[in-house]
Amino acid sequence: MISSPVIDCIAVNKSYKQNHVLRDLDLSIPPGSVVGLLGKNAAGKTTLLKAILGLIRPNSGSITTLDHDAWNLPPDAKARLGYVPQLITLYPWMKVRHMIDYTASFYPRWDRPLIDRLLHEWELPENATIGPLSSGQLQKLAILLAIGHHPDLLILDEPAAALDPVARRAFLATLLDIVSDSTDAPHTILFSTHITADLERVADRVAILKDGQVVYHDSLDTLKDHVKRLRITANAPLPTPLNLPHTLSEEISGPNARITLRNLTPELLARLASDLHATIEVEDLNLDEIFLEFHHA
Amino acid sequence: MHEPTNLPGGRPKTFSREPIGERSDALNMRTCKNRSTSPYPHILRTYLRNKMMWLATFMLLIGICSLVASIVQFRTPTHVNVISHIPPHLDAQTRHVWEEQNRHLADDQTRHAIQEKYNHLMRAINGAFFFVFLLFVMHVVLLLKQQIASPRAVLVPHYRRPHLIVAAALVLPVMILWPLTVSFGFSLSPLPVFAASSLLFTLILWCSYLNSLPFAVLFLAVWFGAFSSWGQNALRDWFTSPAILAPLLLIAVACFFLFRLVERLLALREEMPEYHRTTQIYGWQAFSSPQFSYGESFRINYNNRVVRFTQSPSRRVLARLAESRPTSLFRQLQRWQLGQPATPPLFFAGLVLMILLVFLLISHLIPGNTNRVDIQIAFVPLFFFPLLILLSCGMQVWRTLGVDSLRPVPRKNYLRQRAAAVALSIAQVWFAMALTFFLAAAVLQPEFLATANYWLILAATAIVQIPIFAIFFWFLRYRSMVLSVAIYMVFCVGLPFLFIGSSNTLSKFLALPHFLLLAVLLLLASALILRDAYRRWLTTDLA
Amino acid sequence: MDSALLISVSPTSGVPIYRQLIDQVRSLIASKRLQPGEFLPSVRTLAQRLQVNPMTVSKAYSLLQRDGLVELAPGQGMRILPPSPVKIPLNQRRQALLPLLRQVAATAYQLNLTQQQVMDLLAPLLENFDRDSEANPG
Repeated sequence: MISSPVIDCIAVNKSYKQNHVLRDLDLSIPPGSVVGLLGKNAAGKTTLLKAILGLIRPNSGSITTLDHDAWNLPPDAKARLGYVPQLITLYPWMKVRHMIDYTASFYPRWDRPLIDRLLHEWELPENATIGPLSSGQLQKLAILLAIGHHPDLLILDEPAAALDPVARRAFLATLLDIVSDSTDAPHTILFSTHITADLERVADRVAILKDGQVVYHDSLDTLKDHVKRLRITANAPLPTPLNLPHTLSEEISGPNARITLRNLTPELLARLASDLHATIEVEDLNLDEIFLEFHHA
Repeated sequence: MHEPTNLPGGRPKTFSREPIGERSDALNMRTCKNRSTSPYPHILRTYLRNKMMWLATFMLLIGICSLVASIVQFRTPTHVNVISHIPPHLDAQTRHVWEEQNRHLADDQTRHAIQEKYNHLMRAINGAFFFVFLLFVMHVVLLLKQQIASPRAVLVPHYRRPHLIVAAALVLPVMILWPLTVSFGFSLSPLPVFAASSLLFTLILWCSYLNSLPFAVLFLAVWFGAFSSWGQNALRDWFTSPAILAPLLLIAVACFFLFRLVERLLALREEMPEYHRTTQIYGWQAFSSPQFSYGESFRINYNNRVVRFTQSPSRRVLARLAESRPTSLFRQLQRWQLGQPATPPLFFAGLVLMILLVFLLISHLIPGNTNRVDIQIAFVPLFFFPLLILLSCGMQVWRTLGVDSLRPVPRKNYLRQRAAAVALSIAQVWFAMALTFFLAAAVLQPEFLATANYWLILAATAIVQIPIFAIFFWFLRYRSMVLSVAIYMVFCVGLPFLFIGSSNTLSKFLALPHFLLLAVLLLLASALILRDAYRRWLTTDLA
Repeated sequence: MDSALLISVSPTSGVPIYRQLIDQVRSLIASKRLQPGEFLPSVRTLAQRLQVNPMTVSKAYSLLQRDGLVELAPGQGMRILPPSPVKIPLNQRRQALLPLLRQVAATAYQLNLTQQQVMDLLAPLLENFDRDSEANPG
């Protein structure tokens, strides 16, 4: 049985004045997955996330979040949503516990023991005023406020940017707890981050956003299995360009070459070795390097 | 390649054997100076780009025009003719003559002449304290402080001096030309006028710089004190006297404090308490734009107890929130009110402090003050104070509008509730203020309460808030601070001043049938504007 | 013995985590550090220890189960099976060892070791493994 996607963007376009941020974007996220959204700084990650939440309205196309139109989410759908924005805007005159009480009063179910436990673990003082908090503590608080009601869909925009490694690891552990605690309904997490190491730990799917479009959306393991760098040492100078299928980047000098392919299959590898009369070394690439290769051109 | 050679004397001398070309390049790098760019155009552009400065300059121009207009009117031949009818022996005692109880002392023409002359004199004197000039100077200092209270001022070399020079170039002409124009235009002695205005200007410079409540109260006390009869008499005497020494002394004092301010600006560092005190109005500009983080823009010092008291949300509401979720609409609105920085009780407290203590008490309790301020003047703030909430939370609301819209409330209800929460705050403040004035009037001027005027004006202040709120709500979609302030200035400050200035219009409007008609029209207009605004808000991006 | 301690992964390497897990379990079984009859740590425990997504761990486990190295004992977890007789053809097994041998040869060349010296190093290691497998058959 194919369950309906928890987020479904079809041909989404959004532009701000002259700037065409999202172009004909398609993205469909199955329930229960942890999706990492990767992209360069102006690629439109924040815009996409805001559009999915119904904070901004796309110029064309449709976005369905939790089986409802994203712009007009009903209250019960909103009660299943959690959002940690990139720019954290809380009320600086409130205390931490006031903010938590205020947020908690909106949701039908709120896990107070969980929040208390995390406040203690993450060393967030309950009686501190929010204004003077450091950016790391603000991020921790924002994350807390987003997970207290056990949302089915949790969307995070650069959630760990200001966290030190200890705090980041604690945050990842909490995310993993959320993922493995899916007792009644599968929890979906979508987060955008620059820290590829976090994604490699936690995410099972990756979506790469480039120039307003999703250029890759599949599982992380498939990405790592298929995107490989080849070091070719041939007997004779190689033809330039080589024109191999799915080339991401190519560097040829005489008989040596360094090529990154998007989809390396064993058959292709064997064919290359025999066609070029060369020895080929296959190099595994981690997510950081894969991201760089995608943006090579 | 260097080969150190030991010459007699001990110090090794190095002979450089670098090729000549490289060496001269190195020399060029060391001596090359950035002659092409000067900071002044950029600093000026900061002032020009600031929309609040545009507003202040615009009002300054209006002030200049009105001043010139009244000088011209003062010097028209007919007017000069009228006031020449004052017999010399009365001229010296005119400060007692023109007042109500002494009107029987002179004949019609003389009395008219005296009134005309001293109306203008009054206008001139009050003009010396006319607030647009002070406002302009205040804005310049606020902008200057924003530029200097930053790490750039400490780390970038030769940073502060150009900024101070530009600010001085903007402020000093106003400070010097204004008293000069007033004194020569209205034939007053220049030195006392100069002294009074420079003292007041220095006071407002310090007030804007320090941004502290006690100083603001002091300034208002001095300013309002000048409007008391005792103050007016003193000033009138002084401005027409040939005194030299006392004014010069006062000017020296003002200059001294001015230099102290410059000194302090040159030395402003983060440890100084005023570093972090930026006026809310400049915090808002940054507050409403998404790229400023908290640390940068909203530098309110939350460790200060007074700040915490004024900014802390209602504990009652918070305690109730912790216990149970709000179900009724009123409770939900109270919850949204938590998101507004200035809560009604605080506003009320600030209001009581500023208006009652400073203004009314001075005018009613200072012994010998015959220039008692009519309690009616207290209605002016009743017009524009409640709507100050719009300014204080209108722009701030934009910051959290997006994230708060994700709470489980449908979009329509969300927009309606948030607008209603703001409206509720305004209503609460208005009610608290109206109650205060009722009590003050009951104590100080009880006969006023019996007149129909009191109730009509009260109703007018209430009704007028609604269309202004509607207009504000309509324009709030554009997320523009300058638009909000412009609307506020026009409707909340401009209109009441217009009414107070022309008492004829006021009495016409206070006739009941006119009043009712106007009220109905305004309410209808507000309903239409609100409906259109609500429809447009439904399609606005909230983040 | 806490078998979870034996396993570690590097999330930032180019190799997917599930593959690292599979390779590690295979080598642990081959080097006899994990004996048949022992249990692999539960998915949840291992995921928490390694701080990775539990779905990755369960993917690795199901692949190991598919390859016949472990079996699911209901209520108890993944039990390690005795190594089945080798079905992989000789040629393939030799090809699998070649990359490592190339590395050995290159390093030996860099260290200026002769062929005989390398063989002298290699022979005792191979003998040790043979002796262990004779002592613990199966």
